[in-house]
Amino acid sequence: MAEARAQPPAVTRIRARAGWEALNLREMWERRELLWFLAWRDVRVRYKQTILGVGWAILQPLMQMVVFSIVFGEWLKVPTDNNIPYPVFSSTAVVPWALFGSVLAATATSLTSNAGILNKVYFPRLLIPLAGAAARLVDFGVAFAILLAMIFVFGIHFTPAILLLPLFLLLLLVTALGFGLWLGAINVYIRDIQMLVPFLITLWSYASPVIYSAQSIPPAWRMVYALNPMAGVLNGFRWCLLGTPAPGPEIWPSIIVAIAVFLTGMMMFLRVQRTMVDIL
Amino acid sequence: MSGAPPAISIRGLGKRYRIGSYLPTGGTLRGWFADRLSAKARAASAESNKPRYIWALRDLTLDVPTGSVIGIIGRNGVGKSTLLKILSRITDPTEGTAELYGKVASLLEVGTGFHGELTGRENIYLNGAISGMTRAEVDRRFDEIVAFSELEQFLDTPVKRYSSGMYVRLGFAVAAHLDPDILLVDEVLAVGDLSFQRRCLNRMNDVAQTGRTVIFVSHQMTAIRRLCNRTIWLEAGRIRDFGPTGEVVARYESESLGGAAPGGSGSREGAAYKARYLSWMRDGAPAGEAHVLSDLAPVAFRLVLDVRERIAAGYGGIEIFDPEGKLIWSGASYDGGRGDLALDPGKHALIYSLPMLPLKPGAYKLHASFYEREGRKLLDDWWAAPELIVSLPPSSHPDDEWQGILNLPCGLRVERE
Repeated sequence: MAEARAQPPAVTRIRARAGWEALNLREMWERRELLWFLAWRDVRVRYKQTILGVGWAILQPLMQMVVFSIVFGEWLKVPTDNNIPYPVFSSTAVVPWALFGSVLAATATSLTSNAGILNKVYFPRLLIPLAGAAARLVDFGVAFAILLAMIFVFGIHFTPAILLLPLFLLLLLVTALGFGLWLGAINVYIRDIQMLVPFLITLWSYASPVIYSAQSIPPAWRMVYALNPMAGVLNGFRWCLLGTPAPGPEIWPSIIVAIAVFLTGMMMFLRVQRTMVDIL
Repeated sequence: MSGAPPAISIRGLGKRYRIGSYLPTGGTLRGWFADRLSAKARAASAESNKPRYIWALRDLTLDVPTGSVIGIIGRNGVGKSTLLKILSRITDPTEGTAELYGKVASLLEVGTGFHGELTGRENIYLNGAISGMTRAEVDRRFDEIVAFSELEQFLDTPVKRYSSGMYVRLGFAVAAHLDPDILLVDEVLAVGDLSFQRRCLNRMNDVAQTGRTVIFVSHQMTAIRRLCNRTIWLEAGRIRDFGPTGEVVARYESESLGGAAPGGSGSREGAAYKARYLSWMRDGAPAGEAHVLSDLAPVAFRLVLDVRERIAAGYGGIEIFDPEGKLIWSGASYDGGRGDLALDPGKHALIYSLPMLPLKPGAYKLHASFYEREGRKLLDDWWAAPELIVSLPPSSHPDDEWQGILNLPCGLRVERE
């Protein structure tokens, strides 16, 4: 305390701010512990009083994989890249898709579902959606471990491309947070958004190479298709883990759209967060 | 005090709220589509949704010297909480600026972010982190926090099984160990039992004694009087009055409890009556303090009785009730063998005098009656307005000033026997 007193005191300046001014990275760094506490709270609380607990993180993608394998793999004979067995081909997309969907949904409702805290205490608001995303990474980690085991069991050899996987994971998170921040900011004003989100995620999964291969898209449409950042993410996951053909130039639209949505989503969020408690 | 550097410096602060729906369509997509589709619906919603604004706070300029404890009082909806929310950075102001020098902690709610499924121990860490403590700080003060909460045995119980009293104790225990330079406190002491409230106030008093700056919003005037050296009275988003706590609170109480009319209420003169009380004041009170008592000197109540017909033999009574409605004292005109009064028509002042009135601070009700001896006929029965505001500095032992009735300084001599 004594040495703290010797320094000139920290000054907090309060006034009406414009959008970007509200982004205070230094302050977010100072409060990084809170990010972990909030994420830890989410993880602790989510599976309380459930029988399966974190088993749900495995069970959901597992059940999807079984149904997809039977319906799309066996009956409809959906073609895969490099003749990779359908169960592992689809699971490599189902697991990251589950992360994407849960981060998107959590981010879109993070402000409204934490209204109680946001109304009573200040901290950098961006920590709330970031903590929600971090908490979902725990589920992803568990499911991903199962996925790796499955790839091993199916006798697929890893290639050096696996080293690039973190980049595609980052692209996934940037996309999910970007769209989530947009939806979350709008949801403060228009609560219809939270009704729309589950439906949106389902529709979006059909527009992404989850149950089918991106190679099935007619070449003329591939660049348009690539505007969906999740197309780039899922192709990347398959490339890194299964050794399917590397994403070509169509990765760039995915990256550009993801970053653009992320930056504008942040801007929207920062704009809204200045006075959102007046409405929440 | 004015020499101290400011801890908080506020310049022209204002906050405007929009009333009604934020969006021009009631905030739903349905309304939005309805607006696009039908000109009639659009016209109707444009009419009903013309933005209407209210200023919850306006033109607030204020310097709070370091180490002072400032109370904020006012009726509901005058901007007290808005001010605290702006200073805590929960919401941005619409105009103006505020600068706070030092580490700021706000306590707008006890136990913010507590999760029922988590244990007491887990919630201490979570609430600490939300309120701005680091993990290391919570670790260091953990034992003190637990001791303050008196919840040692329940630390590993989920807080959803706590009673509301336990919940509040845990929340305040964390808040009490935040160690800020500036503490912003909203009405949080309304919860919890009496002894806990006392401990919280003592704790806040300790914080205030160590040179921290405290801003304290409350409706409990006793708490304000005890803690704050200066007090702001907010009205309709502006500063109505700012000064030493005793004076501001007394003015606030006399206005808000008694109505603005000081004394003489003409309305009581209307109907036919034989005798009626019109007004009261403290006999010989200085201007502006006619209904305020702020010392232990002899005190006299001057009741104005309007007599319309001669009363050959009558008598009056006077009672004082405390804020809870309990009778504190009563007297009568014939006490001490004075006998009955004979009053000619006209206005008379009945002056009841007391050697002193050592009451703890608060708003007391005066009740006066007047009877005719013959048939003990009640001529008037009056709850005096405004009320009597007692604003003596509390002189009981600090631990007990919330209880008890009398407010007297005690002397002591020690003699060898």
